[in-house]
Amino acid sequence: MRPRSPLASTVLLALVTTAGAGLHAQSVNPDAAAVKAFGERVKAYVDLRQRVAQGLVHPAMPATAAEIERFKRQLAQGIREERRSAKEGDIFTADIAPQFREIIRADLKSRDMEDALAAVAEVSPRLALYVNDPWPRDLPRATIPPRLLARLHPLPEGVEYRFLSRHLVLLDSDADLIIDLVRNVIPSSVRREP
Amino acid sequence: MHRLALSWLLLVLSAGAPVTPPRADDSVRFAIIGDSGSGAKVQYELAERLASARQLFPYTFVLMMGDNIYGDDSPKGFAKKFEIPYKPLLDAGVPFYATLGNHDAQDQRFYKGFNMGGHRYYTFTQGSVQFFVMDTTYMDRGQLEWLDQSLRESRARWKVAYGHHPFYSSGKKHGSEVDLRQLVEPLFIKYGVNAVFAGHEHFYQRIVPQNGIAYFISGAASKLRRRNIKDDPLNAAGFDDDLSFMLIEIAADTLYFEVISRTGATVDQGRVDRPADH
Repeated sequence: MRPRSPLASTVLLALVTTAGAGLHAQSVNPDAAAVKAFGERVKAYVDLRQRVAQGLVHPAMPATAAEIERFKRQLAQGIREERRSAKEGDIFTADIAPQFREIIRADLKSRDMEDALAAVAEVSPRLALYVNDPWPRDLPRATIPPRLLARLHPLPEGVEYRFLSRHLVLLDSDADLIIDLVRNVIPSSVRREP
Repeated sequence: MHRLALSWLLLVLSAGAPVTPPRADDSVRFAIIGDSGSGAKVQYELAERLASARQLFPYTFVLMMGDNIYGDDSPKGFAKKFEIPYKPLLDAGVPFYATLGNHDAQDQRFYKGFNMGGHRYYTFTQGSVQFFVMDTTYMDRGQLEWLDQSLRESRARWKVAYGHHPFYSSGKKHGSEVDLRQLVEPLFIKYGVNAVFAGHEHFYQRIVPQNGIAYFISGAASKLRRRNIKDDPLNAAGFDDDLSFMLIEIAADTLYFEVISRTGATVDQGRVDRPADH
């Protein structure tokens, strides 16, 4: 088992403490406070999405392709309207983004080059990305290496971390919307150029 | 430890010589396609072959190894890449059980044709076989816990897992998903999974059994990566000259497999015998 980076351990420890004793850890550990606040912002997003979804006609289960497409379009539209003023860094705020960047870089650095390249091999090339953009339809969803995923803050179902270009994207996987992103988390040294 | 050693001794994988599936009344028969959803002419050609194979080998359901719909996933895309090519099977009431690939939107899990029950990962049982369907594109803690619990609770005679990304592969393009394997394979070993199927690599490959588990890749149902299989120690057999699909029959303690190319040739076949201690 690969040893965790000190910062990753801090973040995971913070998760444990905030989930258990919580507030005490928050008062003494600024990383824990940042992680806890990140979790709250994600939860606020999920609550917003649920409010939007409640106003829609859900597709029957199982659904036709047309029902699925209609629901996704309406959900994405509703979320965009509710978050029309959303901007990059609203969820990955300045106090938490460096932690993600460091965890990812430490993980990739701990791999040999072949493994590191494999970890980002599916990542699509350079793209212009913005909050509230849809996931590009023709691009694959690059797999986050599971051992790296285990080091990141757990997310509720329906919200995912994905790599796109060199960036870490927070993706609403039902609406296929980019909720937020941290740019340039993948160092160019392990980036397979197109 | 004893259990593992016994598995190594008893798992017999034979291939090359013709193997006749028994087509027993109480057996479980299914087909496997992977990386199927391109909508290209060759997908249709292989789909025709898949449908005609059912005349001789009456399978009752189909597993999909992911990349079910490449690109356009509008209703028109679903029609072109799934509903039309597999219409003869769908009309005959043959269900498809899909897993998500890295080219698939997650809302495919709601689609009636894929029988995923609205879940990214799920399990279902057919006869003596329990299938564990993983979302290998996003193996988060929740999924790992689900897999652990589902395997632990399983009392099925056969445990078969599948997902898009191969734990072992001799592909030059992708290769083995080591990260995924390190997290998940210990569960397979612990709970006695017998066989694992994947796609992602656009060819067919049978892996030399690993830790008592039979691994197969079937990812060439519409896309082909020619001459992509390395000759390495993992490779028991492979086919990267044309598209292909698999036919499987599980009867009593034996899994019979046959791999059919787009031209109808049998390009690999054999059997996997289930260890008696599982």
